[in-house]
Amino acid sequence: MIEVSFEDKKIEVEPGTTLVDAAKAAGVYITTLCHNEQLEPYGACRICSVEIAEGERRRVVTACNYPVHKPVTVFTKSERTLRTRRVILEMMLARWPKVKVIQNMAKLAGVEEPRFAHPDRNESENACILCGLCVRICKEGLWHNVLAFEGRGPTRKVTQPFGEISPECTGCSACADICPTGAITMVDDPNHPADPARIRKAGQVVTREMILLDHQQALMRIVGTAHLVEIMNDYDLLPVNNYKFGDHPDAEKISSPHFRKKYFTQGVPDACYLGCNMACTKAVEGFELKTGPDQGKFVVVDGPEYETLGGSSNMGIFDPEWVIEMNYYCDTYGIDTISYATAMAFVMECYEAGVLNQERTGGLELPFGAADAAIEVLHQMAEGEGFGLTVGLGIRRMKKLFAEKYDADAAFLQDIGMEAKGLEYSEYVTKESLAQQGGYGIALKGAQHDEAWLIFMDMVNKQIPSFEDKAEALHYFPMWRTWFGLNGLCKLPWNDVEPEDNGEVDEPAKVPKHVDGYCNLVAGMTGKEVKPADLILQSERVYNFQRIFNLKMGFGKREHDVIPYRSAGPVTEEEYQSRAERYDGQLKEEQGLDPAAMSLAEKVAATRQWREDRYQKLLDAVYKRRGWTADGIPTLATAKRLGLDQMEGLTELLAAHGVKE
Amino acid sequence: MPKVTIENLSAIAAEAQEKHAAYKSILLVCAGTGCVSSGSLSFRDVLQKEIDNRELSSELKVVATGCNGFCAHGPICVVQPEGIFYQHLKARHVPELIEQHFVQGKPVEHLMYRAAKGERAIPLEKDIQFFAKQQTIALRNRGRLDPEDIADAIRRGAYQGLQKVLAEGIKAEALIDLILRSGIRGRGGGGFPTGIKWQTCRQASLERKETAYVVCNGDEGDPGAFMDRSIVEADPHAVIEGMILGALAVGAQEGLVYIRKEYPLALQRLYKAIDQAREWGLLGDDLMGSGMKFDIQVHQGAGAFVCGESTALMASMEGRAGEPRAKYVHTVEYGFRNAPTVLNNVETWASIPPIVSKGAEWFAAIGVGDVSQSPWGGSSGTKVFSLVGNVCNTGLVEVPMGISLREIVYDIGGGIPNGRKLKAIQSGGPSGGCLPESQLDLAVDFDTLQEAGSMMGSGGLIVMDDRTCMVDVARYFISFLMDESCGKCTPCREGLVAVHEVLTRITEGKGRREDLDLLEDLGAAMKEGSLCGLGQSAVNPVLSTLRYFREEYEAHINDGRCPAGACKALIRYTIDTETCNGCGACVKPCPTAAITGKLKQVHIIDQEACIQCGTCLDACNFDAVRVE
Amino acid sequence: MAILVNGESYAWRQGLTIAQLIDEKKFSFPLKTVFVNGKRIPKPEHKKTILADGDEVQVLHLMSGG
Repeated sequence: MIEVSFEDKKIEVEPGTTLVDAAKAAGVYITTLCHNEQLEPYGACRICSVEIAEGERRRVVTACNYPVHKPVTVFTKSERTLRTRRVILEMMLARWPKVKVIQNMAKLAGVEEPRFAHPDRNESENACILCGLCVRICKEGLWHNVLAFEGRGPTRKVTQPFGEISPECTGCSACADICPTGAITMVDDPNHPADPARIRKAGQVVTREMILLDHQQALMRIVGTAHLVEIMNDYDLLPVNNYKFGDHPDAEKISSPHFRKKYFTQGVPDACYLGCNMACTKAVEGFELKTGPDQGKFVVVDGPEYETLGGSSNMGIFDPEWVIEMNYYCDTYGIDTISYATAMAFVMECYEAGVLNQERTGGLELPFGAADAAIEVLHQMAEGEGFGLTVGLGIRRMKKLFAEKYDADAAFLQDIGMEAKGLEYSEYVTKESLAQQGGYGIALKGAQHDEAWLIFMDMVNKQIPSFEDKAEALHYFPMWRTWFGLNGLCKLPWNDVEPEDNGEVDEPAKVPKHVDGYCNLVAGMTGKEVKPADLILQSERVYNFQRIFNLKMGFGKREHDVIPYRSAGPVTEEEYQSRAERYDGQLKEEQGLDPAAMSLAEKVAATRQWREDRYQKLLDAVYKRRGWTADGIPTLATAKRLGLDQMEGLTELLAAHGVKE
Repeated sequence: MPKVTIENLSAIAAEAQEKHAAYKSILLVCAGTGCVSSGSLSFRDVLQKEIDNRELSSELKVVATGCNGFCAHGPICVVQPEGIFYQHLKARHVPELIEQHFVQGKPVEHLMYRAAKGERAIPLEKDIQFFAKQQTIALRNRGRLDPEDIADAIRRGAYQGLQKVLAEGIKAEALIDLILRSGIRGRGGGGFPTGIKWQTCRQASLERKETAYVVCNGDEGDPGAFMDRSIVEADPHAVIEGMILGALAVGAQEGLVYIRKEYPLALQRLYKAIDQAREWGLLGDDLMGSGMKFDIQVHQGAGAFVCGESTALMASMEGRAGEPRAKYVHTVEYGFRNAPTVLNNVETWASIPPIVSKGAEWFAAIGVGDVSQSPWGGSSGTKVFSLVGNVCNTGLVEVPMGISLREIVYDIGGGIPNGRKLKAIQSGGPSGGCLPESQLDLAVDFDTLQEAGSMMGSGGLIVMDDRTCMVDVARYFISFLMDESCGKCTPCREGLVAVHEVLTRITEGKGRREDLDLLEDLGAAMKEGSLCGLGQSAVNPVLSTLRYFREEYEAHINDGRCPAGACKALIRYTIDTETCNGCGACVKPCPTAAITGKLKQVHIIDQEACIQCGTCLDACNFDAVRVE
Repeated sequence: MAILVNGESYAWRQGLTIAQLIDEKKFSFPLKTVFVNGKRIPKPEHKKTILADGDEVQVLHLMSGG
């Protein structure tokens, strides 16, 4: 720590700290103009110039970017400091006499009338004072690079490429927000929102958080969702070998630091939609393909995202370049990486269990980790030939097929075939989170976590211990999360970068400040004030309609909300043993049993019974909370509350299924 | 082509020397940009043709060299082995030259140098005073070798320094120590000890395990400066060899040369030299068979003076706009691509190989001061200057540090032409200052001129006679800087505009009493507040002219008068009625037809039409035109 | 000699700090708020805050899902 002394205050700081930061920490005020905490110090306006002394040496430096490496005394009020600032402000006042921020600073510095006439005198109150904040936030903050300086010396000005309004500009208004003189005007959006300024303001809050907080939080702008690999691995949630296990020593090989260092292009905003200020998509450029029809070509690969990486670990494959190649071909063939990976994980377990063999796979050896064979299956799947054609049927159909054709144990296949409602599970191990089991099992379209992601709330934070707590979460979060889909918005800016104080609010998992932000967006767009409860209601209406529609199509009941046991507990003794201490402990604490007196098979069975029973109890609680019958059908009362009863044929449909009230 | 190795360099040099010596005479035609623009290349072509026609090409070799230095007297040809100096050559001189000098063995006197009209010819270059007082190190090969032939460079000693280091296994630390003991300080204007720079870079590179870069600053933006241009045009291998040695010292594998685009001949010669060096195994993967990897890339500037500033230069090479950044973090630790970087000037690099070949003590013994304890103790070695302006012998000179201004201007420069008086010497370019006649005995080195309010800078020396207005000189430099300022920081961008406005008013007779204090105030803020050296030193010309020529400023402000007769708004051209004999020589040349008069009668200038261009003053043979 | 961490028992030892606890539990997720006996302890103090026997620690992970 190094000492920094001001006129009447002292403070110790880490080496490399700037004088402005040291002053802030010490409670000393140094005037700045072109400095902003969201950006690297620029040192252009020079208003923060201060005289300093380091030992014998005295000189004037800019406080915003001068790094402390030796004990230093800062003279914020010396003659040299004051004179430098005064003359600089005199120069600026001569050029921009009506700009308020200059007038104020000039007054404080003791400048009266400038003693010379500036040939480029600009009378506007909103003149651009060339501070560069807009250029820097566009470049460093958003990586859009739409604004830059043009010209040298007196001709310097801020412009967009070719002096035209750039098509690359997303209208994020970070520049207008940061401009100290109001020199930037935003042009209204062509779909005529009711209150564009309100929308921009809500967006600016998010932009600021992205710039200041993302690199301390999820690194979304830097590595995207890939940052979850190492986290899930640490919390025993990364699927390995068809969800048998939750971590693996080789997971490190496909964790995000590798991709950041070696593969992902940095500093380029890749947004799914024009205007997203998170822009978390990552790509690998110049990747040489090793297999398949495009072998030998150098391509750009969009990804890998967490799910693709988690899918790879689910197959027991930990080779980053294999994942990139698999990602490319899935994209090119139009095959979902999750469905492919989870289906392959099932296939691999079947292979290791003897349900499949080389004869049945057309010669391919497919134990866990069989990377070459796995990608061969992918190519076959796309061509519609060979074993790939079989895997392309998906887990639900493969279970049936293997049971029939190979006389496999259907119950075993049901236990390990990770699909719900026909959709392959996404890549999280849900064994220890009952709430998430419900999240997957009850979800309308199948085992996807778009609706609920409650693992941390449930398993780690232990915030939802009772069935009622879980049911409440399984009401609020699916309603809130599906609201995004209804509005064509991505939910990641809602939850992946959170306000600094989110840990201190009442219900941090809801990220209430951001929910309010979305209310502002809706109000700004429609002109209608909404509260969070209104947004939930919007979702509830659609969600219940969808459930009833499922019912109409022959699904939508309790019997369809089933999950494979692998997602709720250890199917095999091998799995039980991998977490024996935990499971034994649970037998004791939750069921009052004595694990020491039980055989392994007994313990597996007892655990299973307990968990399956708890899942059913969860369904009871969730259905009740949602206003559904015990069979999982929305009641007529619920339909009425949501105004759905007005739909033609709806009440008749419910009645046909025994729901009359 | 042969691959040069540690073992065969001497043999290659000897072979080249043998070939060279086989000729009866070598005709060294100066092909530096100055002489080229005077037609030296077409002279060379006619010369070669004549030699071929007379079938003398096995006896006479014509070599187009880099700048000879005596630019005011070009086109130049020096004939070896005697060293006979021919000047002001034209194509029509060729037949006479060949016939008389080479066929009949009688050198052509009327093409030789004379100190003044009517004096006798001085045939030998070494006897000409302009050359006699010079000592060349950086310019050791100027006018002596073909810059487009690597064999010729090797013949004259190129790559001997490198060979010595490789053959004797001199390690990086020892090499750095050698450079430190020589006392050499940067010749680009900063004067920072080169050895310390290399040492710091090497340390940073080892600590962070990051490969360093070596960079050559050939931007040379100072108006009137052409030292670096001439070095690259004359002896590009000197720069290449210097950079290889620097790379050895700091562990660099890539070198970059930044040359301003306005130097096409230098660029052409450098590209060719680099190509040849690669072919001959002196750049690439295996230098001289030693296994050392090093190669050089050339970047062209794009017309910005500010890109001579090291951080702006590096930004430019990285593809960003040429804007400087704060130097609180040094480029020697975080420079090009954020790696440790040694940036040195062309002249510095060119001076390195002889230090390695001849030793630190040899270099340290030249110059002034005592560098035995530290390079800061003196100014060792020589310095190249471009001597321009109102001086007889404009050209390129290299002199030992510590020589006085008087010796440069009078002994080498031949004094002020046209019988005028010396008024001031401007040195150090736009960052430097003007010194009056009273300061002429000051020693030229890194430290002495600074105390007097000027600086040696990169070597531009502009001599000004008594028709120069010092206020206008200050205004000229400010005007130059105003256009060249990158505009990033307020004090430089707006300060230069403000100072320019004040100085312009003064030269137009609209100066105010408070203006001098205002100039000092603005200057102080610019000096303390500017981001980079451009702004920080921008007011130096103003401050130094204020210091030594204050009465001139006061005359403009208080009396509305320009004592030198230069500021157009304050002068009138009139014809003296007693002296004018009505010859009419001034009438036709006047661009605005402002002069009227009958033959043999006193002519008169219409003040409304007169634009004070001074053409009539030059045209009049009777001294009848007055400037007041 | 135990503390509660998110409702679960964890072996306590003399001198155990919050930072060490987080490390040992492999709570690597970057967004966490830590409460000890209901009081929030800011991150800069995690290295020097020593836990007492019987403390109730809440390590709230602010993770709302992928």
